[in-house]
Amino acid sequence: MIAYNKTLLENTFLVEEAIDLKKSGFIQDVNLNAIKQQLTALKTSRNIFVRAGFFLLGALLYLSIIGLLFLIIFNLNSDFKMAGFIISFIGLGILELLCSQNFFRHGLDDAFIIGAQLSFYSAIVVDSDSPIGGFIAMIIIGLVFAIRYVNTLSYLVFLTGIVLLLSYMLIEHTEISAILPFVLLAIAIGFYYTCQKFKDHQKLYFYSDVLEWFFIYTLFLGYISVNYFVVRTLSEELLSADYTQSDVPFGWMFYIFMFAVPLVYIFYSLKTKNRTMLYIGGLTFALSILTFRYYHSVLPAEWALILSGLGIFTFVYFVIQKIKTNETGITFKHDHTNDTAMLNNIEALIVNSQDIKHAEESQQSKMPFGGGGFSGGGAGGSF
Amino acid sequence: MKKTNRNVQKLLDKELLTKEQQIGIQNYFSQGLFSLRNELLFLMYLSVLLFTSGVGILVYKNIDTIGHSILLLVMLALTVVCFYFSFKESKGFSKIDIDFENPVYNYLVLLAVILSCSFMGYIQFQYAIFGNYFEISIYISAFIALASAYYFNNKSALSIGITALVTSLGISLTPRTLINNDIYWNEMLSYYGLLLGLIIVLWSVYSKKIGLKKHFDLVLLTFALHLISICCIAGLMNDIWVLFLFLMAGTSYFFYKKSFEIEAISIYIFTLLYGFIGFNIAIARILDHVDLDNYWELFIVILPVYFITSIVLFIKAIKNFNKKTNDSLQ
Repeated sequence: MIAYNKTLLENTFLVEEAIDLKKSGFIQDVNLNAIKQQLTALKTSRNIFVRAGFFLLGALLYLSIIGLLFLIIFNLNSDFKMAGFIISFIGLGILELLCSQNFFRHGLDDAFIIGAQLSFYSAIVVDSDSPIGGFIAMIIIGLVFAIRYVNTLSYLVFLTGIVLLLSYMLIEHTEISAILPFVLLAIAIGFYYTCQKFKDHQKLYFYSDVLEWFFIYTLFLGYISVNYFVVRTLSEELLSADYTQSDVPFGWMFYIFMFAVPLVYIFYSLKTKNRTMLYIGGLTFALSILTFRYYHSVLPAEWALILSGLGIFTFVYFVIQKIKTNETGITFKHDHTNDTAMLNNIEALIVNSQDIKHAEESQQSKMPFGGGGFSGGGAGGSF
Repeated sequence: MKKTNRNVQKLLDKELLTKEQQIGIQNYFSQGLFSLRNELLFLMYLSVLLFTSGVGILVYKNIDTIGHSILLLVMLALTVVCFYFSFKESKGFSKIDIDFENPVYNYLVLLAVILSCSFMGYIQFQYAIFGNYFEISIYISAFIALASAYYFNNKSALSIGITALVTSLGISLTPRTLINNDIYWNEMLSYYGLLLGLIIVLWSVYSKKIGLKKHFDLVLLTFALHLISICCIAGLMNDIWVLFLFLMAGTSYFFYKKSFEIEAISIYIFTLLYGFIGFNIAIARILDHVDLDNYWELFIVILPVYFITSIVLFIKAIKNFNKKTNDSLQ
């Protein structure tokens, strides 16, 4: 079922775990090197940038192969209906070849996984003139790819297929399209329970990363389904409703939900000690504030920035004071598994994305006085 | 957690871990620690950036009004207060990587540095206290930032200080200008940039020798690499490109060696990238002098081979790096 040699796949995960353990300082260089030597692993790119680079190369390779084949096989009179499927099968063939050469989460294989699926789905949509076929294909092919190649993105395609299919059926074939947000929320809750059920399943050991992303997808889906901006835009687009005079039905409810859901995420994540969920909670909370400001500009930007800065500063300061002495549970102590040096370097490099006044000063001052109109200080990055 | 436990158990079964190590790992995880240190400190950092952006806009909007001078005074007062508390809490200067008892003060230092830079900028803009020698205000900003960086052990301040120095040359090298592609350029800038880059490199080598803030290396070298390489590439377009070709080769070699030494894949990758760009420009300059009319067919055939070879070499280089170092970004 899985395209890879299971021993090698397991070794890959074990080596990754060992690298993490080494970073956290639980084991030494000697141990890590011994582990790396003992366990033959698949060819993976752990660094996301390296993987992205290989992905680009893979995409170029795929395109050039297709181009070459089309030059040879096709001419103007050929039937192009099958072209999408042919491209897809070529991709699949090369993908199998890469798998037998032990490329796993390497970047090159990702290009073919995505390319093969994309061409297949678009071919189906073009041939059948209806998106339903495409959605069903996403569900089936996505799941097959996710299982066979232990691929996260394909699994997300599978989930998106389910969401899109249900939404499409609801909008096109029923009279109650207005309940779409609630249906999406219900799907998210359903996903959540499925995810919780399979999360620590022994047999799904290889799929723990896939399931982690399933969880993330679920959280985002749950949030998006109640975000006011999304609800309003969707109903304007899909139901061609006009909200310039009145508010969305139950608009106040979405405002409440929009802030309640992230808060629930944050508190629940602190309770279950789940870092991913905490980040998503923080991110979605910030999104909610931006959404709110998009419709109600309560404060001028500069005061909003100053006050939020002050607010966050005070809040963080008091939280730190409160948890500073904690020895267990939620603490402020150095964490073995979380790298602080990295954070400092990142902070040092992005501090300049903000315009500190002197940056423009030098160029301005070369000009005679009176020439105004230089851009204002630094609203750029932070919005 | 379960996943980690399972993996550790597997490693133990294969006798790649010792029993003590496994117990140590399990004990650590069974404590149920959940450290919010990094998250809270990042929020603090964010709050400083938000606050200073807000202040920047506020001051800008009030230029030429009476409120402006008052705002500048408030800014000055705030800077002084921040510096006062930072000095009070600081453990004093040290050559090594020390930290405040309470890391929150790092962000107070950052706030003070950004505010004082903004203050210098606005006061020069509004009152022209240094007349037409606007550089002086930038040098003062740079001095404040660099001094704070070394005294309070603050990398962000270091980064601001170097950017200020670069700015004083007239090069606005921030991520935003890079993205918006509005970098000012003329020939003289290349030489100034090269000189500053060289000084930064020499400083990093020297401070490593005397053991002064060794952990600043990555920031210093990152700036130096980008500055020197961009200047060299600009120089390669000039008439005296042969000189810059040698400079570029030397730089690439130096940073190539250095990236292994400090195990930084970011420097390694950018060195390769800049080196590759420089190499291609050099080839194009050479081809300028060759009469291509007779060879263009050959050229077209060689081009794909050339690209594929470079890709393969790039892959090999990354693998080589990963093998030789245990970089954290691996």
